[in-house]
Amino acid sequence: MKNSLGTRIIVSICLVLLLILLTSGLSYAVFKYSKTGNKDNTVNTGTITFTYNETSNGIALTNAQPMTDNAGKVLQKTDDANGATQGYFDFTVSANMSNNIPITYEVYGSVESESTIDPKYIKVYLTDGSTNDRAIEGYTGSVVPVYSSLPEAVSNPNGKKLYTETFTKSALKTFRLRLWIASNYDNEATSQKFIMKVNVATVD
Amino acid sequence: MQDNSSKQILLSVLGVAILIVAVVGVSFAVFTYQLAGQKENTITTGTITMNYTEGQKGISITNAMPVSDDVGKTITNTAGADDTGSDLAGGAGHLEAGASGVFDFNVNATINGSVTIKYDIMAVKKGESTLEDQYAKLYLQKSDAATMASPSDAQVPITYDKLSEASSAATDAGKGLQNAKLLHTDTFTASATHYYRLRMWVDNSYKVDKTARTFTVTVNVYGQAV
Repeated sequence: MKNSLGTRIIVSICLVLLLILLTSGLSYAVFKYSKTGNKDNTVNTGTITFTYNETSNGIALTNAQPMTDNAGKVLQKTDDANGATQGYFDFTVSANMSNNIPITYEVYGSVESESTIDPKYIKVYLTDGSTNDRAIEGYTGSVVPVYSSLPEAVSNPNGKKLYTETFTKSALKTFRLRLWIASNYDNEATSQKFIMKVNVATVD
Repeated sequence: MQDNSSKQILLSVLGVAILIVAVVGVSFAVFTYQLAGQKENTITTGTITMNYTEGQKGISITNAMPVSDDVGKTITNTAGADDTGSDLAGGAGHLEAGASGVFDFNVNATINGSVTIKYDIMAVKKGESTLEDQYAKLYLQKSDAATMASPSDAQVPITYDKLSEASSAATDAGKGLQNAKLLHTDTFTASATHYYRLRMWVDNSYKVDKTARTFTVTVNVYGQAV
């Protein structure tokens, strides 16, 4: 009985002391501030669609003979029995931009491995494909360049740059490509061939 | 038995007395003296108020193209000039009529007393953002003038992904924020107003394609006395 009473007294004192400690401990507060912003800060990116479109069949010159530049410049489309388009190859390059920024691109040729004709005998001629078929920059001289003399493409060291330009706004450019065998080429006993693809790439 | 009871009673009384002393704090003195003092000893609590005030408009740039930091840092706060808006220099983007290219805001503290307040400026990315964090550039300037005269860099141009994590914030609230990054931490030791200007642009490492993307943040401010 004595122990029970003593225990109860001690417990009571402890509880009171605990109450005092808890009360005094909760009475201290630190200044705090919080505010959530309401204004959205937004950046929406622009868009660019850059397209290279081959609008005709590729050039297919069979049984081709060496010819002069004057003859080569006016090669026309002739559909053969296989439906291939001879004479010239049409393509377009276009950029559709939501914001006007400069985009530099190059048109370059890449020669397929099965080609057997030395590129120094292949004439390359680019026009705008318009009704007047005007030669574009780099092809307006009196002598049409041969493939091997073209500068190296920036985007592909194995390619040759046919043309380069910078779009500063949305635009569409049309091209007409003609290839022929230079007049100084000596025909061989067996048929030879030259196969080239046209590529387009943007450059920095 | 009688002695035990007496002892118990004595212990009880002693315990209660201790209890009373502990709770009430009454002290017993043999010699008493009393004189009413004349001097007032006063404690007046200090006051702290703090406010974060947003400018009228947030940033709203459309058709943003990747630009260098040199271009981005010059994005104007001139709203789109006419009915069709205006283009920002260097291709940084377009402002529709009435839109703003910068976000101005200020943080103010009024302090009576001696106290230090730290505050965090947090950038909270909105969930509908589709532009990756490494392509969104943020730049924060600070000035003591509402005109943003002679500004200093509170946060140099940095992509969102490289901003410090919220866990680096100085305040408890800032530390616990989700989907947020720490833009800047600063301090008030006296009443003052700090003015800020936020700019955002698309980093020049971004490759533009046919898909338009968006990046949106809001700015929160948290303060805490230290």
